[in-house]
Amino acid sequence: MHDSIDFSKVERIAPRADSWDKVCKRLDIAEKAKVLRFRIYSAIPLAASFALVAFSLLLSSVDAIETSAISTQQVASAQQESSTELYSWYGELGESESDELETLDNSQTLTYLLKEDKK
Amino acid sequence: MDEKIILKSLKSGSREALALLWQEQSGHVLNLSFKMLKDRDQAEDILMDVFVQVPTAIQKFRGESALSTWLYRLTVNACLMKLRKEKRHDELEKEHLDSIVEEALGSKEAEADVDAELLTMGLNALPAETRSMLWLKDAEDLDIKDLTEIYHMPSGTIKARLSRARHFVRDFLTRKQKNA
Repeated sequence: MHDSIDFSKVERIAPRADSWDKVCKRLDIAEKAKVLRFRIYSAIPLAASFALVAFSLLLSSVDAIETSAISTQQVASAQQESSTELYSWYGELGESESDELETLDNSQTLTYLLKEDKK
Repeated sequence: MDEKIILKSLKSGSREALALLWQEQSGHVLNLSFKMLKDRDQAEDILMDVFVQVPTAIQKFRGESALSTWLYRLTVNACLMKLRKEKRHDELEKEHLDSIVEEALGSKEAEADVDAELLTMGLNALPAETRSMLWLKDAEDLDIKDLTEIYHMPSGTIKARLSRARHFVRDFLTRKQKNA
């Protein structure tokens, strides 16, 4: 083009000798980061499934604990009921012809006898 | 090597193809960024940034223009981003040349006997984008079509800016020679 300015005299610079090596290093780092990112992202679903399994195991063990807690409560309530029965029988002792000792369980009878013995 | 083969290899992540591109284009990219930023270290940084982003950016390149044109576009964008980031607004003043009146413009003969340093000074007095445009057109010999792709501007706008830029540089040289 006739109108162009002649820049042929203007000095041109060349890339520094180590520039390409720097580019390669940066590309290597970027690739490593990409691989690492991929590993992290692929590990997430694995970790999530482990967590899910652990959580379900935890839930089932909590269920077992609750079941044992209920049975303990049931035992305590049964013991309370038997002691009420014992006191009731003890209070009515001598008020009827039969002391109804045979209606008590062996354990309750033993408890009563032990108490009497301590007195 | 055929540009299509280089492009295909680049898309598949070939380091050898990138090295080949570096051999052919790194000098042009460096000089363009140096002309825009007027700083050797920053120009080297831009050169490395451009080539580091090539393996990723090439995936979106459809091969509608030459690889060199595409590289120049990456370079111009990277330089403009750097100038904006550093808030070098005087370098980005796009309407700066519009204030030039035709009567004050210098003649073409002014540059005939001028030294390279003065010519560089004249070029550096232009805003960065126009400076790079003039450099690519007159020093790197790109055509208007390439420039429209690089700057995303209509050819009329490119031609007008080039014309004003040339007048500005010639006027600058005339004034400097008169003062000398």
